[in-house]
Amino acid sequence: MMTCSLAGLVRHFNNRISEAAAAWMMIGIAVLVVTNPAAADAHSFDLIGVAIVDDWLAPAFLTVGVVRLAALVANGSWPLYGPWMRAGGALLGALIWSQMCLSLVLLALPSPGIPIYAVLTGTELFSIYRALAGHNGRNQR
Amino acid sequence: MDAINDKAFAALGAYPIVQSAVAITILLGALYLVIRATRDKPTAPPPLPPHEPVPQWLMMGPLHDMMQSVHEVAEQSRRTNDLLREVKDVMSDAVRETQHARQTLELIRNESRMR
Repeated sequence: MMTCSLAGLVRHFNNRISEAAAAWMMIGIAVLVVTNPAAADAHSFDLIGVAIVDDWLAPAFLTVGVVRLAALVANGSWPLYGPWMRAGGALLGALIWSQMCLSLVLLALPSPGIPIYAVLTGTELFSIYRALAGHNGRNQR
Repeated sequence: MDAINDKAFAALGAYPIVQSAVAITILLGALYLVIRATRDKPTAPPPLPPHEPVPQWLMMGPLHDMMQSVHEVAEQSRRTNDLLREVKDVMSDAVRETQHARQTLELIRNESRMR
């Protein structure tokens, strides 16, 4: 059971804290776009805008973030689907961060966001492996 | 050079080719990692060193308790010896008093016979 203390959070999330951080980033981006729609015009979202219209940007980020966070919080209670949900969320995260990185590379080259999104993409890809490695269908954390 | 770059980027239009290439690369990478993850066995915790099956620090607590118990047993034995010594002294005094009383009684008896 997860307890809301620092030690409890460390115990629960263990080595999955990067996934939780990525989920909170997505939720934060959704909140930013909702509270300030002008944020959707940032260069980071230019290439994502090809696939997702601006009106659906915040709901898409919010959905992915909340689903990832739910999978992480309830992880262990869903031993069969939890790891696959985490892997799916990490894949979506990798696609999103890579497209944002590419947007900055192509449209706003000297941007400090480029290495950040690149590292996030790599971390998400590694999270896919971490979520599924050693998964035996039960007692998976 | 800038003109060539501009032409190249203009030819890409809205960068659909680069965008698709990156997305496909990410998907292929993810597929490779999923296959690797499902192949790899669960990671076991690292084994203990072979020559040290029980960590040394684990013995320090019981050893300390045992030494304290030995000290307590020695203290109790010392007190028991003191008590036994006192008992011996009291018994010696009692014997001495009894002998003295016997001699006194014998003297009384002899005195009474002489009369």
